[in-house]
Order: sequence, then C-alpha cells, then structure tokens
Amino acid sequence: MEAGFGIAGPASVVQVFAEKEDGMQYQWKRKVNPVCIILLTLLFAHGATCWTQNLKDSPARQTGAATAGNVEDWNSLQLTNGALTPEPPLLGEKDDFPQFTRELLQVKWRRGDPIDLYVIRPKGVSNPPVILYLYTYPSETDRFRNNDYCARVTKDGFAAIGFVSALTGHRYQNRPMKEWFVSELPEALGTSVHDVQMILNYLSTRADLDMSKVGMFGEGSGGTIAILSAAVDPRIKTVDVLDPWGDWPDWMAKSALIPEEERPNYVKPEFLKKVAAFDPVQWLPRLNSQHVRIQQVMDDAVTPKLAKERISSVAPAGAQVVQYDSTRDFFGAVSGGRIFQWAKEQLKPAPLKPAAIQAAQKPGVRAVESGRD
Amino acid sequence: MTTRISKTAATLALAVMMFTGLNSYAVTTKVLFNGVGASVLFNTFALAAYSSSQCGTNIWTYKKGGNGIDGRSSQIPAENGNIWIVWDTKLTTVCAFLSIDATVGAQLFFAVPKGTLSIPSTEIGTAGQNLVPTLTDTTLPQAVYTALNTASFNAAVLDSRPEDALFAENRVLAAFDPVHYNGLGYGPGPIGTPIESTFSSSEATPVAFAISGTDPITGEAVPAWAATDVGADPEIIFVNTENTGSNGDFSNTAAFQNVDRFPLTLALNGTFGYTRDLSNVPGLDAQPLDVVLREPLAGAFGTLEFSVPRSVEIGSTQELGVNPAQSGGNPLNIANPGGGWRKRALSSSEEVSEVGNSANGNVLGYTYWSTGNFASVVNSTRYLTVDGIDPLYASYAGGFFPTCTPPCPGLVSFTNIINGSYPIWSVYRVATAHAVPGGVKALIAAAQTQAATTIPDFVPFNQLGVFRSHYTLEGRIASNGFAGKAENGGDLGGAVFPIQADLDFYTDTGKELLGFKQ
Repeated sequence: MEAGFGIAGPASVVQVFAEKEDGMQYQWKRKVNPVCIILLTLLFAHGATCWTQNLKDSPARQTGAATAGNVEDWNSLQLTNGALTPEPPLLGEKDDFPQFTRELLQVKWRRGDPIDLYVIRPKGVSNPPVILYLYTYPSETDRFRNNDYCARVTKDGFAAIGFVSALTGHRYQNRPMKEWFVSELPEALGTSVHDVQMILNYLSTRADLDMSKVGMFGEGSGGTIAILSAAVDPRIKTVDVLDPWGDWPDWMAKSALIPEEERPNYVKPEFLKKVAAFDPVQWLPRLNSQHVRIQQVMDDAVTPKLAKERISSVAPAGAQVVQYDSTRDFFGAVSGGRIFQWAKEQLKPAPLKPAAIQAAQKPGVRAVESGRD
Repeated sequence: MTTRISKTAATLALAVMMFTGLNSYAVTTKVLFNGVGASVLFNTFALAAYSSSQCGTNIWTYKKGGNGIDGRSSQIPAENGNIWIVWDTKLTTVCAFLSIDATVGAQLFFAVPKGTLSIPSTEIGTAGQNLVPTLTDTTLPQAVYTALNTASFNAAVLDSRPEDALFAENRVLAAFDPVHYNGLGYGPGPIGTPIESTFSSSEATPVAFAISGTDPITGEAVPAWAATDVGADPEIIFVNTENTGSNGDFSNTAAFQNVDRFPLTLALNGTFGYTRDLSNVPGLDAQPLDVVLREPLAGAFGTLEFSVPRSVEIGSTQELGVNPAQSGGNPLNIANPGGGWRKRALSSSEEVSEVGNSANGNVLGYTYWSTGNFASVVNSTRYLTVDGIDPLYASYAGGFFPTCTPPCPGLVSFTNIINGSYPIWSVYRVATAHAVPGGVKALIAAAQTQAATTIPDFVPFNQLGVFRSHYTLEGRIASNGFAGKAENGGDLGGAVFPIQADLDFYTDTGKELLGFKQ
C-alpha cells in the first residue's frame, strides 16, 4: 500500500486500487477516495501556487540568493557588512610537500554554492604575501592540485589562493543548460566579486598570511573579476590580468566564445544595459592606487581585438600594458612560470627590470603606453 | 459474438505482427561502418573489421570495385576506388570501406545530403580479389550488396583534421596564384576540373563542401560532427634503386641515405634536376632526377606540403610552376633542369607502383607508411631519412622496407614519430556524426589494437607523447584538445610539442600552445 502510494502519487491512488478489488485495499480506497483525494489535490495545488509565486517574487531570484534572511545585490559590487554570512570553513584535505603546503577548504556564504578554496603556502615563510589566482570561464580547479604549478606559484615565498568563479566548474549546478556564464553575466561577475571580498575576509582571519600584501592574477573572465574586485576592495594592491573580457558591446558582438545562435540575445540593448555596470572599461580607470599590468594576446579570439584596444586605452596611469602579436610571442615571453613573476615583484620589490620592459625587447611584443595620464 | 470476433482479430493481428517481425529481422542487415577515404588505412581497418566481435568473418575485396556518389549534382562524377566489405555469416552486420583520396572522402561525408556508396550489380556473386593481406575472400552475396548499395557514408577516414581537408579543397579550387600558390587553379567551384594522373586514366575532381554553416551546393545545414583521433603515421620518402651503372643512381646507397628538407623541397618543386643534388657525397655523376607527386587533394600531398615545402621556414610548394591550364600542367609532366621530370600519381598504389618501376629511372616519391603500401616494392626501392631522422626505426639501417606476415608486432618502432623528431607525419582521424556511431567507435578501437599488436601500420594515438600545434582554420577556432576543450582547427605542419608542454602552459596561463607552425 505504501509502495503504491509512493510510486503512483495521490492522483492515481484511486485508479491503482480500483483495479484491485480485494480486502484491505478496497477498504482503504473506500475511506480515502471521496474526501481525501479532493483535499489532497487542493492542498497540492495551493502549495504549488504559493511556491511558484514565491519564486517569482523572491528578491533573491532577482538579485541573488544569499544566506537565510539576507539578500545579495549583484548590482552593488562592494559587499556591505553582513550581506553574506560565512559558515565556518571545512578543511577537506591538507597536503604537505617539500616546497609548499596545500589546503583544500570548502567555504560557503551562499545557499547551494559551496566553493572549493585552495590555500597554498610556501614552506619556510611564516607570513607570506598573498596572490589570488582566478582563471577564465570555463575552467576547473585541477591546476591547483598540480604540484608543479603549486611549486611555481609559491616560488620566492608567496602564498597562492585558488578558486573558480561563479557558474564555473563545480559551481555550475542545478541550472537549466541555457543559463551559463555569459547569459547570466551580472550574476556571474557580481557574485564572483563578492566572493573575492569574502575570501579576503576569511584569509584575514588566518594568522599565517601577510594581508597587507595582496595581489590578484586573473585570466579572461577572471581578469575582469580581478579588475572589478580591486576597484571596490582596497586590500588588493596588485592586479595582473591576462586578456580580460570587457567592452561588452564589442565583446558580445564578436567574441568567439559566444555561440552564433545565442549572439542576438546578447547584443540587444536591454542585455547590454544590464551588463554595463560590470564593464571593466568603467572600472579600470579607477585603479589608481594599485600596481596594474594588462597583458593581451592579440590572436586570442575570445576577446575581440577592438575590445582589447578599448580596454587598454582606459588603463590607469602607471599601468603596464603589454600586447603580444600571437600566442607564440606570448609563450616566448612568459612560459615556465615567468608569468607569475611580475605580480610577485610588485608585492615584494626586487631589483629586477619591469616585466613589460623585458618583454618589449622581444620581437612581436610591445609595451603600450597606458591610455590615461 | 463480439468477444469471439475480437479474440480472433487479436490472434490474427498478433500472428501478423510476429510474422512481420520475424521476417524483418531475417532481412535486416545493419551497416555498422560505411567508411570512405584514405587508402592508407584500407588494410588496417579491414583486419580490424574482420572479427566475430566486430563486423564478421566474411570478406570481399575488389579493385576499383565501388563508387562514391555525391548526389548534390549530376555533374559531380562518381569517385571510383578499391573496396572491402566484411559481414557476418548471419547477414546481420556489415562494414565497408571505399578507398579514395582523403579530401574526396571528406567531401562525400560532409556533403549535405551525404554521399552514398554505389556498387555495380555485376559484382554480385563475383569472387573477391584478396586485396587485404592474410585474409581470404569469398563471393559478394546479394543481401550484403542490397544493404550497402546506395547507403550513406557514416564515416570519413582522413589523414588530417577535416579543417585541413577543407582547406586543401578550397586551395585546389581557388584561382591559380602563380606567386604565392594560395590557389592551384582547378576551379572555379563548386565543381572543379578533374586532376589527372600522368600514368593512367585515373582522375580526382575537386568539389566544394562545408564543415559548418550551409552546404555550398544545396544550401542545406551541415550537421554537427566529430573527428576521432586514430593514430599517427609517418610519410616515407623513397627512391627506386634498380638502376645501376652510375654512381649517381639511387642504387648508390652509400651516397643516397638521407635528404634534408630544403633539398627535398627543391626536388619536389622541380628546381633540382639531378639526383646528386640530394647527396652530400661529392663527385657523383649527373643523373636526371624524376619525381612522382600526388594530387593536391590527397592527404599524403597535404601532409608533406605543409610539413616541408610549404612550412614557414621554407615557404615553397610542390606545385611550383604547375599551372593546370597550361601544357604539362594537367596531367602533370614538366621537365626539370637535369632532364628529369615531375609527374603525378592518383593513388597510393599508383605512387608506389610508379616509384617501383625501374623504367621511370632514378625516381623519388612519397607515401604514408604501411606494411601493405610497400609490400610490392621491397626489392626495388629504399627509403631515405629526412634531416637524418629515420621514420621507422630509432636509427637508419639501409632504408630497407620490412615485410610483415601478421602478426608482426614490433616490426617497426616508430621511435622518431613517438618522440616527434621526424618532420613528416600526421594523425589519422575518422569524421562521423557528432554522436560517434557505436560500430565506428568499436572499429577505431579495434584498428588501434591491430596497430599495436598485429600490424604496426601506425602509432595508436594514446601512445603519442607529442602533438602538432593546432591553428585556426576555415573559421574553426583552434584547440589542441588536451585542456578540456574539444579539438579544433587545423594541424598539418603544426610545430611539434610534448603534450605535457601544452598542459603546463595551459595550467599557468589558461592558454594552449596554438598557432605554432614548423
């Protein structure tokens, strides 16, 4: 009987048991049939209506799901106090290697969105400077489990913090397939910028990092998030971005990342209006107090050349803009972990030539004068 | 009464259904693999198919026994080629492979609607010709013919990415460009001028196709597809050694063991006229150098073209001075400064046969390695190293082609393909529908097993430690396929890197090693 109810559901109870004209089941049917079925049906209908209405009206749905009782406003990049309440981080794993230690923590401040956070610390340095690493959509956290990578990013005594942005990797779940990073760009960027601030909050509670020296390396959409985060969080002192997305009208019109069948949705004025507040072109000029480097690989098809030019043209005074004609030139300049050196030098100055000047001495690579002074 | 009628009707209906079902079952022969394309995998795929766990244990092969029909236009000629068919004894499964140019194979597969296999009905009941080593043919049954004839191809067997095949097609069809050779002048498309063999009546007609968007002839949408990596194979530079009497003959094996890429280019493009121009041994006689090229629709042509003559470093082409509209251009027959010539073969077997023909003098040619390809010329030809690198073994031992009576695992080591140092090699791919049909997937796996354990005709893809850098081609944004993104773009002539280098670069920067060319 229970199995029959459980499987068939209330609406089919009558049919199921009507076909079995015997003892108990018949008795049960007679008791349940007339009144209970109607009541149950009404109850379900009411519940479903309320639930649907709730979804429609929920501010969380419109601006972002947060912890119970809180509302996350994606449109405000700066996180207000108490907007997100962190749960105690869970330590999943701690690995000890000769050159570094690596912790995998699960941090959570948003319903249904736990974040795998890698804290990779160099050995022999009690309070190392910190660099956050955020790679583009789509990407996973595999690289943070790569020991060689960890050795490179922690080289010279720096802590590396690794994670992925919202709607990326393990954080893309329970979504209709049509909803993805670009279609939900305000959420993806806004949420991720909040995450950066929450991660910095968490790191500040640890006693084993030098939070007065924080940098952020971002690639692709990670570069966009790094720019937006640095614009609202002064704890980030150095920003090193590679091919950041931005200049949305041009980016949406020509980026190779966007499927052609979806592109018309993203060049509509209403969509562009929604994402305008998240355009690094608006925020980049405000990074006057940070060390900023923008690297652009001109044959990268994800960010169109026009968008790259627009982004570099609004770089703040003092920013280093380095453009590479091709991936080949880029590889020649940065391979073997050299890409990480610049940010480290800014956080822990050493008597080395600026990377842009070194790079510009190679063919196919040029240091571009920043667009503003 | 009503009940009785209903019961009778139901019984009758059931009987009819059972009868129909059984009857249908009896005549349904499922086509697991209907492939078309590169001849170099003809034997390997046949041997892979010939198994009770694959297609069956009955085989029929026939020279020039099948045709690929591109039904998009009646003006497109049928493409004739060798065929094998393998089926099971119960006639429930059948596989077939039509061997033609890789690019033509791509054309037939990517055409919308897809090209179909045509088998002359006169071949029903005829004995096969035992074209696949170690396998004994039977006759072609009517049921197998019925299942395959007019069936659409479900796989294109290519020796490059589909992007490279399309690039080759478009280059052939483009207007003749006597400066940069970006167009070879066999157009205009969509149906171009047949490229003719110098040695036979064989020809290959370039016909436009698309791998995305819409078909250039019918305007129908091109469906999504996938290209599965099969394995890597070197292209062999080989020469006829039967002419003797002069120290300038290729039979002087002390003088002719190696050819470097620049001299090889100048031999292929008709600049060099003497065999001695390829040797570093001084004082050799002036013997005319003859060269047999493949047609530019052949994968063998493309792999060599973009690995050596048209590499970034060299910047030439095998087609230098070849204008199909002029005398000697098509069929190719152009004299070089030493009194030798450049001529064209239209298939691997024709290439091998003509290089192996001593009447052609001191002749040089090229084709992909396979035991079957060179079996008929092991006594009349030898292969050369390129830039001092051996294509088959770790080191050179005279350039003799090994013979194989399967199984012959370890016959060749492919040391310099696996480590990437030999300059002329490519990865075979099989293009299929986006959801790779189960029969095709199983056959590819079986072919890889064959290559590893029975006939070492190529290096199974998973044994490669290197790859060729991909580049954006024909509108397809490049991806090497190792960083979690689907493989995309062209890779013929791409620079060779260890796979680990790509992974490391991606780990650090989020970018792949793309756009590097040798």
